[in-house]
Amino acid sequence: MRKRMSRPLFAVLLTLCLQSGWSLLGQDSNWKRTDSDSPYFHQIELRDALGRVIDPNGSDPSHPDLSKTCAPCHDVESAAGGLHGGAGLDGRAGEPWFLVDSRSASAIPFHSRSWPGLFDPDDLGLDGSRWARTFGRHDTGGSGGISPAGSDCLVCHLTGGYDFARRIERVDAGDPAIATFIAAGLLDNSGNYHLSRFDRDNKVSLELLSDAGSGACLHCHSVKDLDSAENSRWLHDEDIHLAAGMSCVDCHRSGIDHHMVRGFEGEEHPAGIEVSSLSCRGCHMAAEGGHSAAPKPLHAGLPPFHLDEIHCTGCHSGPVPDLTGIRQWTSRAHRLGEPSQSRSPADPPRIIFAGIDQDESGKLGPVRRAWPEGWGILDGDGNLNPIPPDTLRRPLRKALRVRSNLIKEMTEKLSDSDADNLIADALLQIEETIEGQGTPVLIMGSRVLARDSDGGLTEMDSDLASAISWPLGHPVRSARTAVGAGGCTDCHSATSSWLTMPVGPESPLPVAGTPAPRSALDDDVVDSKRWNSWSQLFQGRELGKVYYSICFLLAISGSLLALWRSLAQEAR
Amino acid sequence: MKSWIPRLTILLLLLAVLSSIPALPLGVDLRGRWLQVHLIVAAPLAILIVSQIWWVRTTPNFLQALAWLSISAGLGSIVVPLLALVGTDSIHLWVENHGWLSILGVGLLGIAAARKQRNK
Repeated sequence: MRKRMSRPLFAVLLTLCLQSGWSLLGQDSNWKRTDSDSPYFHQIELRDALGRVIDPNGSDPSHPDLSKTCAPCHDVESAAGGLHGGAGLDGRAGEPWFLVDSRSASAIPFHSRSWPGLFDPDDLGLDGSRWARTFGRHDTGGSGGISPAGSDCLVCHLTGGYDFARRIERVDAGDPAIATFIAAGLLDNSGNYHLSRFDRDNKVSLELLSDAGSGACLHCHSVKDLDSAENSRWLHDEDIHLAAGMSCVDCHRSGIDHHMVRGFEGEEHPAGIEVSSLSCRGCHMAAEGGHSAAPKPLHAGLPPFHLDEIHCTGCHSGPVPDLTGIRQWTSRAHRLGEPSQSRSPADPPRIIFAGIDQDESGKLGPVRRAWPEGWGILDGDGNLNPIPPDTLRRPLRKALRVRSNLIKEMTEKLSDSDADNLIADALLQIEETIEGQGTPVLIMGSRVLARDSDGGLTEMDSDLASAISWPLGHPVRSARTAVGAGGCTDCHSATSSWLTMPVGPESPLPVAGTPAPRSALDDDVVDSKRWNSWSQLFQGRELGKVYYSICFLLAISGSLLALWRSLAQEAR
Repeated sequence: MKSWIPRLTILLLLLAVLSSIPALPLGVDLRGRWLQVHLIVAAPLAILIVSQIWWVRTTPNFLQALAWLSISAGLGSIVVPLLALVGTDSIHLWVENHGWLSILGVGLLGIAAARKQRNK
């Protein structure tokens, strides 16, 4: 007798069949795609926040909304998430944001991701509107971020005609919602439509590409080495990949989910996708070959353990190690992209290319470093709560008579000893003015300073003012300019700066006792005694090559001759 | 014939073998202090090997000749990466071959010595 399939089981199977068939037939079928390698020319209508098509010639047309404008064709909800939008895994530490305030000499590193040594945006009272006003200029938005403004698709995807300086101007002025349309030239500064940009069907033409070129990324991801007498910025080369015609997103790829591949070794992609081939090693060293004909380096004569213990970036990325740390500006920390005549090398935060450090995996790689500066409350458990600069205005004005720039004004009129007393007075004012359980402290020069009973300053035993560091990957230098291209003595010599570049904190306020700069070798990133003894051995390496070569030639010729003789002798 | 040359050569060969033991298990490069010891031993050993081959024993038997050829080839297989003639991918292979050839040479010398002892 045939057994009949039960109805619930049939229903489940039918649902599964339909679902799998649907997903096979029409992936992303809700969204329009050309599926062509050729770019799609966007001739589109602008839409307002309610999704209505905007007629710019109408009476009092509403402002456009980017999310609604893109939504008919693109999955804007997915696009607003991803690593780039602040969602996904925290992963390896990256560049923090810095809350900089000249009146209180604050430069507080923070991030919403749980990276070591950083403060939380909530501790600094950074709500959406304050965030947008202070950091919105370099924040492209996203569902995982703090910005109340939606994602700015145009800043990354518009290939030309995006005026980033105007974006900064409008975001700073409190117009984050329409800043992107003003920057793209669709609206004027007053928010009126540029009618010349619309055709007869009220459509605008925008050259939007998934890869709008490296210029789009560099709005927010530029890093500039600061000039010194021996080291002029204009002499520096750009990243070798960009010079070769590649684009940032050739390696830092993502799908519509915007989980941008960060490109470091061992990266865990939030979507669970295997992305190892997009790291330096995966692309250049993999036996099966990398992307875009990536050349496989020979690394002639380099003992293989170097590749196991040093990241590719350790020799190939960042500035060439110098006798001192190289100060750098970054887009987000120093407002790059904004035309300015007053940007100064001394502008906080002080970000330094700090040479080589060891990461969590024990591998060596280059890092940038910065030191937190500002004021805070140290509680009984040893936790440091930073005091937002706005809260400091009153007590600092009262105690220190600061008008606009604490560092400049104090440095101009004080010697070291005077500064101690005045800072102690300021800490007393903070204690009296600001509510909070704990001791008011100044965080500066890698130290936590509190007021002592004599009205002076005392150093607290805390590592909360220690340097924060994050690895760097760019600019990638060519093989010929990599550390080691000049031979082993590029690192293994008494004159090499690779591990011996001293970097340390500075105290922008005139307070004595700032710790002296230390190198990676001082911090025993590698065994310094062993390292130094190897450096001495390498002095004779060139001579050793000649010596061993001659010995080998003599030995092999002599032993062949001896073998021939012994064979001849045995034959007799 | 200077009898101290072969004795010192054998002693240094054994020291070189002993100082390379930390490179076990296979696949690991000799590094650090032990590599320094190995190099310090290797510097005089190289010239002693040459002396041994050219001046001390001019007509060795077949086994001895094969042993010195193996040791010489071992020396050559470390000179190749030293001169940066090969890339990182194959350096370990050359270094490992240096070890095997040297050990083979020392082993053959031992067998030759044992045979000689037996024939006495």
